Amino acid sequence: MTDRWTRHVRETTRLRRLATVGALIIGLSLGSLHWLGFLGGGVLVALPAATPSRGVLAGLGFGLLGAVWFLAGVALAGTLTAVLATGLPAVLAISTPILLGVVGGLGRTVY
Amino acid sequence: MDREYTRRAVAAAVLGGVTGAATLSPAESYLDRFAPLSGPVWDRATGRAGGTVDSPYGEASVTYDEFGVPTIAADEELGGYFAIGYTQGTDRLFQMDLFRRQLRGELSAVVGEATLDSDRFHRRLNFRDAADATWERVQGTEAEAPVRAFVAGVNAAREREALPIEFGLLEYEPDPWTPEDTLLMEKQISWGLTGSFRTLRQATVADALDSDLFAELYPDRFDHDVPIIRDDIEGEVWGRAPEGDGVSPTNVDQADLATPLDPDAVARLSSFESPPGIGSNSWLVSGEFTESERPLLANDPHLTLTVPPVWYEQRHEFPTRTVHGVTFPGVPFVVIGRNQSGGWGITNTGADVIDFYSYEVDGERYRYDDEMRTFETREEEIAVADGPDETLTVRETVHGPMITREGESVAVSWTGMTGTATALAVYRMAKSEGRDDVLDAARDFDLPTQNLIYADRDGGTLYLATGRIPRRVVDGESVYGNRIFDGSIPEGEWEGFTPYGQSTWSGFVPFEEKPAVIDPDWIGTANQRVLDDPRHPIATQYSDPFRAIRLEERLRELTDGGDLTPEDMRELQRDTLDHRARLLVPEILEAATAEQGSFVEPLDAWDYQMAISSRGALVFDAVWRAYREELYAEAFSERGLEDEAYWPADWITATLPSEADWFEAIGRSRSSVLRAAISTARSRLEESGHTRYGDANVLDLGHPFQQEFLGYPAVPLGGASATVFNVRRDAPAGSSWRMVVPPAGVADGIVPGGNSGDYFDEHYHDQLQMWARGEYRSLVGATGSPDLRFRGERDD
Repeated sequence: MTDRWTRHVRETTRLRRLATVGALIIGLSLGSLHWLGFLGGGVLVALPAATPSRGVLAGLGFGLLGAVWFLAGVALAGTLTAVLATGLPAVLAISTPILLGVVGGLGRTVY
Repeated sequence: MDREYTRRAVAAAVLGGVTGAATLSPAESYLDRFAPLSGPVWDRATGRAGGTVDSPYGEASVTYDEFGVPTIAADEELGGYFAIGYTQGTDRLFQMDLFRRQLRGELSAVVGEATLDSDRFHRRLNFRDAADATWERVQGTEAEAPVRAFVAGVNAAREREALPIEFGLLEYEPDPWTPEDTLLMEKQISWGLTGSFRTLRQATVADALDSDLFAELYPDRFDHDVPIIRDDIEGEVWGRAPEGDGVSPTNVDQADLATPLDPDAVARLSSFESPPGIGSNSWLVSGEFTESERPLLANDPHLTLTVPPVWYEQRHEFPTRTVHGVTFPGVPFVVIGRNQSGGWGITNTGADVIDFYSYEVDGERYRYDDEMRTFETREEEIAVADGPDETLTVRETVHGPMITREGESVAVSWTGMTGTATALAVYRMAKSEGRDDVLDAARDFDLPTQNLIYADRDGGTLYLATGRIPRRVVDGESVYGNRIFDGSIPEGEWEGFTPYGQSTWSGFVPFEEKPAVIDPDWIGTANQRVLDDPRHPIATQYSDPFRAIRLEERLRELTDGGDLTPEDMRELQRDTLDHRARLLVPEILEAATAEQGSFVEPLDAWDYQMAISSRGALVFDAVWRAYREELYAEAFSERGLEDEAYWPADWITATLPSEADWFEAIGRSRSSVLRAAISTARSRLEESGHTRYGDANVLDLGHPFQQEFLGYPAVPLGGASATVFNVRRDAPAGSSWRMVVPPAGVADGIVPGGNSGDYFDEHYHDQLQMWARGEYRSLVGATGSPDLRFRGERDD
């Protein structure tokens, strides 16, 4: 079911890492345009993973990176405290990329 | 293999299910708004655009100071006004849009049906057409071009800068700002200051009370001797009646007071006027009494305390003038402030500029003089978020719009319902070079009626009541507006007034016959009676005179001493002595039983200062509140007047003598009422655990959007509604801007919150604690590199 090129990437450490980094960049770019980008990014970073379970972990890592990226951005702007003080909105903002990243990571199980 | 397929199928189902659920359910709305990196709620969290902005009005720069107050510098004023619009469009856009929606009657379109009653009211009064007429009035004057430049600046910010968080929360984007919207802001603040249903309330109470009780609880004139224009004032006084030719305090019989509206309807209308306690302080002393031998001026307008504040502070540095002060968001010109020549402040005059008319009605027609006329009728669609839209039928007569409640109606005339030139007056005040310029500019100050005080660096001083004051004639006699006029006769009409058009004001009080003092030696205004013997009727009831009494007392002491400094003025603005307490505490102590003695003991040696640390202030505040309830709650409710808005003024409560008929009417002596109030106060304080006044007197300002995180931190405060250092915590109101101006020196000021309305901005509430402590900031220009530069050629 999986094509030969994909298997080659998954089995070659260097290519796998390269593909993962590329997927992270594309995923974050998509995530900054629309929240569905975090789902897509989760799928993208999971696909090069060696196993389905690692795919889910990759999706989780991507989601965490998305959350950290957001928090770092507001921290640099000096508004981290104000963002966290919003309460539920902040929880939604932090949890969205993590949850969608994990769900996206299931893409590796499918393909 | 089957297991592998099953696992894939389950994973695919989860992936698809989550995607579907997220995009096709209400969750999508939350994700759209709150998602990191893309959600509009966070747009402002990552900073402002800053940098260079294209301007069709020429070069300018904006430099924010350490409190977020912009200094706008420009070689040409239109470039400056574009930049001013840009700063307000950046710092206060949601507040501006909220006010605009409120006055247009468009709140429900974004908030939902909770604001439908507000929308109905504002559409009936048709503030929108009044603003259109006002823009028509301003066009062709020297204020037109600055307004246009300002509006362009607001829209540049609206397009270029990220929108404030509230727009993301409510999921909408603001429409372009227009000149009419700027003039709608004039209507908004003016309605808050002069839009009053007191006449209807009085008529309702008059229906419910015996005439003796009505006269006792609602006198036409408060018994005090501290009018603004006091008898011994030095200076050229205008507006005083020739000896023996003054108008009497009233000329209406209780029998004339009748309203077709029921008490509940009138109470609900009262919710669309400012809460009680709206008033202000201002005073000036001439150079005769100051250390610098030049005048000093102080002003603190008491308005609703809001998040963000009602005022926006700004500084304009143009080649011909430097102006520093505050304005209402959406308005380009400094309303209260100073320039290189002088300083000015305003308080509410309390003039009666609103009248009500009832008619003989036959279906869709009403009698006007000797003919039956058809109501002017139109239908308006009110959009409602998450609900069905509503069609509202609005009717108008020759006098103005009809207010309809439960099928009964009266028409309203308000001086703001026509084209007014106030924007021109305020613009010219900012350009003024001395007292005579300000006096001249004030001729166009059509709305609202304000006590304007002014002092210039050359020693000139001025007091003037601004605004158009209507004259009503009934049976050939000039009368007050404290009755509902018969619009069918017609009586009490305003000559020269055209609702929603351009008025000639021909029948109004002439400018030179309005109250004014040219070169007063010293003068203090606290919304009290303007003068004892006016040439024309101004108003019957003014604010409670507690602050006025204290202000005059302190100003007399200070001017007797001489050598006054700005610090003396600031100290007076911090004064927390409560005159209510001086009147009532002896009675409380006398009435208290032996068993109540320990509770009221802190009042015995109390200095009447409503200080944060005071136990006496805490006890008095609790007893005062309970005393009002004991006096009125049950008795008024029994008479069908459920709403507290009907209760008598605090001045009446504090001065009601033991032999008053009211005590007989409620079947209790004053002492017994006071003892009951003491018991209630003691129970409440035991329950609350409060030990000092600052525990109870806490200002907790919430945001109109009612999201807790958008509100300000709660702060304990000294002061009360009756003190010069002014605050009312229940329906938050108080000193919305404190300012002290030595026209030849550095001025001070402070706002209750912060200059920025942007939740993520460090200046969102950075002045709140200073304001609560009675501290000030120096009103000087910002230094350093500009935060914004405006480049471009002016389009001529």
